[in-house]
Amino acid sequence: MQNRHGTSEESMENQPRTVTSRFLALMTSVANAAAKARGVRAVERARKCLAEATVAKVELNAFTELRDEKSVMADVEAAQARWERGEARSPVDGLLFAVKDNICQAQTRSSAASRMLSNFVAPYDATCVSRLQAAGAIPMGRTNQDEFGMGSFGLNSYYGPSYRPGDHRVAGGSSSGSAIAVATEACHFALGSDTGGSVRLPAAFCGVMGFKPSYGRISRHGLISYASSLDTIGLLSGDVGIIAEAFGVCAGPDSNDSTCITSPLESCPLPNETQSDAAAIPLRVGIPVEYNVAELSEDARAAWHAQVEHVKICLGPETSIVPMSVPSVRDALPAYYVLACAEASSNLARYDGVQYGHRAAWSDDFETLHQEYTASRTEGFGAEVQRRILMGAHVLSAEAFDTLYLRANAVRDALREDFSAVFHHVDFLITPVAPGPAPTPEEAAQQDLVQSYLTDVMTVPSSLAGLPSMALPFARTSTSQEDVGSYQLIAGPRQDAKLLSTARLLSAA
Amino acid sequence: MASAAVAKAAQAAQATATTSWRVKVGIEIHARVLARSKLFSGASTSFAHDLANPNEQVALFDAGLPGTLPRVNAACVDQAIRTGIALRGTVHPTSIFERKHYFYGDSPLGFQITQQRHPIVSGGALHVVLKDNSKEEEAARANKRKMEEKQRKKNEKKAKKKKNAKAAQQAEKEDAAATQASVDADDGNAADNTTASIEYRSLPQCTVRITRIQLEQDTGRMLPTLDGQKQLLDLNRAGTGVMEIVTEPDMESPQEAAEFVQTMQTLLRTVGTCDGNMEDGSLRADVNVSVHAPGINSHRVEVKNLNSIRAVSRAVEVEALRLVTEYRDVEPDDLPTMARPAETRAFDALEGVSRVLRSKEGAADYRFFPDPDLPPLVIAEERISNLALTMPPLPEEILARLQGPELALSQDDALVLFHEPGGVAYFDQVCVELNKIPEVSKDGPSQAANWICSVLLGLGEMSLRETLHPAFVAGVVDMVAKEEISRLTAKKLLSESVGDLAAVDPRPIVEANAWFQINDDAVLRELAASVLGQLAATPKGRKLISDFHGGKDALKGSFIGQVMRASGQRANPRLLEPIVLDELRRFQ
Repeated sequence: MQNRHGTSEESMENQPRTVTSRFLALMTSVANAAAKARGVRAVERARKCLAEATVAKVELNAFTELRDEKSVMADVEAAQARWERGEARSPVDGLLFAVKDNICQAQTRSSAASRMLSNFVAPYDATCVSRLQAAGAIPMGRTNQDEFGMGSFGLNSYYGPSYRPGDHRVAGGSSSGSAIAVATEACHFALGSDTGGSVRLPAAFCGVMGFKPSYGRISRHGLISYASSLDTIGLLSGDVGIIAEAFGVCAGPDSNDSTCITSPLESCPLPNETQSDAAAIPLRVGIPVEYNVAELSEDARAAWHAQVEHVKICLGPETSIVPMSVPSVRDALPAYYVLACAEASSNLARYDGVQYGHRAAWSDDFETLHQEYTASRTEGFGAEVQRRILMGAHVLSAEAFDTLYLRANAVRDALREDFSAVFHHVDFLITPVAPGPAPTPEEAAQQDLVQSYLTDVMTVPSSLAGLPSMALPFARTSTSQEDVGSYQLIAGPRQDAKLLSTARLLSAA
Repeated sequence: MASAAVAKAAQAAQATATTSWRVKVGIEIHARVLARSKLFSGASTSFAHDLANPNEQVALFDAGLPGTLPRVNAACVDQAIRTGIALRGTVHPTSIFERKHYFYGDSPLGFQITQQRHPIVSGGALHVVLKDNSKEEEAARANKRKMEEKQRKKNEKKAKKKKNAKAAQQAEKEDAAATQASVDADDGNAADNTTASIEYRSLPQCTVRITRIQLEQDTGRMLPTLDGQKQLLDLNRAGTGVMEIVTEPDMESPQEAAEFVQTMQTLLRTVGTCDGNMEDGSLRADVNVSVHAPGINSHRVEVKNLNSIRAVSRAVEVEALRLVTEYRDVEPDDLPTMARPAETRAFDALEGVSRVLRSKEGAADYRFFPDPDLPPLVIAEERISNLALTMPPLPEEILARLQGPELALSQDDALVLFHEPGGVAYFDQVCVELNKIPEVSKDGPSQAANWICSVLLGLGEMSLRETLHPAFVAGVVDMVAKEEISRLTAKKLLSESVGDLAAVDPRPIVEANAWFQINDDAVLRELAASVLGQLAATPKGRKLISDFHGGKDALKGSFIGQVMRASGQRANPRLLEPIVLDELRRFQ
């Protein structure tokens, strides 16, 4: 008889589980039956996925690399056998997952979609990858992205742009391939990374769920750094239950990442499939007025109203909807670009082509080591990456440090304070994810820099404050438009579990 | 206002005329933290003891691999805290690691993780007891004369060889190189006649204030291939913990600077936070030198990476002279134009000159900012007090004990033992052995220290515990104290037994060689009578004896010496003297 969580205690022994086990228990007690139903059909389900994956790779450029089908299927068969024997390692045992190209996987090219790392084969697994694998989940391929996570449309890749299924508009970035992979059902869930919206934005553009946990909840060990103080590993899926299960496996402290949260997950009321139980604890949902920016399209504004109504219906009539103010949100976007670029310029300083990565062909013109570095870095980095490195180097220069870096940090402190005050009054904030619909690649290319950076305006505040946030798709019924509207649910500091359990209620409707 | 300026200028002019200069020295010590693994990775540090091949001890993080993150090694932090406690500094409850950016092959991350605005320790002081160097200086001067003489002879020989065409060519080349070196040296060497114009402070001791201690990563090493075409990279050292200990400019002579470094070296070894080996780079010093005269303050010169105590004092000496030469002839009006930012120089220990590395004016902007991969380093008060409890005795306490009433060592012996790695421990072992001996003399410890310093430490590279078993030393000290052997025999006994660690008792050797001191009055008297009798049998001897009786007291030593020789150096000199004098009377 398998135990209550569908897990074998023995195989979990070496995992630092304690923090998340309670949450895992909460989520899987409901999902257990569903997980088993999936597990015993793992082979059949995986075959379908892999067929879709091949199409998504060729037609949408969603993958930089697909794992050999035979070895994937061998893993799946072993997992299904475990389910059949009642020895499943975890609820995610046998699920296929895609890995964003900036998350290291042993003996696999891990390039962050950059020419600079196009020859880099990681010698180790990222913590999230190794935990998922230990829990039985099966990596099936590596997804395309904006180079080093720098971009909002999925167009800045050394391997070429990727497109969202259906209309070939941009998929959103930077975790573009992960969102497409989930949307095309090429996998059951995907790992992404979110620095200023890179999981939530493509999830919204592709109509899937994208969860950015609290900063530090999932170890960054193995995530190729863009901006260390903002980088967060996130999860995308069409099924919130799978996101919660995979999160339960990945989350928790890791001695390889000193910035991990060490305290236990916040407890939350047990979500139930019946709304009446949830309604017993009336929730307060805030509408932050500062998100109502001039750039917000009329359609998006209208959708926002509809989404709020939807949420109220799902969570029950007791739910109160409260307009809130988070004043420092107005300064969030510039502060984000100042801090992210500063850290990027530092984190990317290691790429000089000396020990690994792209090295420019030798030229007799090289008289100094620096000239060789310059050549390698100029060839190895794309235009957007170079731009952000240069901006960041300026931000950290002695002349600009006080006026840019320190001021941006002050904005960040103010944001944390503002948000923490707000979450004394409400349980969640609801906002749009993007200020407008997904542009076509041509439209996106025509945008000037500020315009394109504005795409992140809804997502960067919670990144700066490290808050758990989630993009949830919302099928609009009021218009005939094809576009899928999505909304963002932001929870208070470290309220990951509460966010996920509420998201389950919202998506169950 | 104007008159004040004139007065100042006049003062400056006078200063340059009388040239009474003072030197000020501040030092940065880079001490490799003694720990089993590196500061931010689990990689081993045993390469420092030549226990690894190049690039064998490199964790993924040390090589800067994508996706790897630092994690602070608590053992390294403890070591910095202990060092802070030993220097009586303030250990801060919160300190911050920052990134210092520069592109170079030995820096795989593109930055160094260090501490800038909030170091782990600030404040503190090191008390330096200065050795009386007058004797050593005389010896050094004599040594220098000897070396010069040697060189002169060598040159003469070389000149003779010039007959051989090939040799001649070689010599020419060397001459050219020497000329070039002296041209280079012009940049660093000052004219000798300024030597006298610097007034080095001369005090028996000084106190050097510590500004800060910061924890940082060491770099890797770049080594050019023999053909100079390529650079080889060894990352074993990359990421090793280093304590940078920065002082205030509180030293005012080359000797103070050198002995500060030596005292620091001993302190770190005593506390066990750095092995202190300068020759393999575990301890390196940068000196900051400026010279001052009334109205004149020179710019500051930093000489980097000095890897011996001697190099520290030489660098201070050379830089002080160079700066004085640079400033002494400057007209007061030109002084403002002399105002220069600090410059960085490298010291060539072989040639005794320094060369400009870079001027800090053009120095790179290191773009410091707090490392976002490392949360602030938080140190609980309890951790500090627990470490304080485990601190070994500090140098001041050790010196006080050695020179205290119980052990009563001379200051010179105490300092020598103290600075010798393992010296005090060895001495203490000898004392333990001494205490096992019944009726041991009270001045045993000070005698033992004297023997250790005068005989055992004169043996070059050998460490003390490789010389002799402590019980053996104790036995010798006791036999001397009990007048069983003479001091001369003791010296022979000690130096001839070195390396024989199995020997724990000198008595069998003394017995086998019949080296016992002759203390028997009758035997000594007989010996004296015989020697003097033979002497008196010769006309020359008779004259000496009568001269002695005539008042030439100085001859006494010669008579005692002859009897001593006849005894095979075994006669007890204390007993012998009255006997010889007594016997002499018989030949009056």
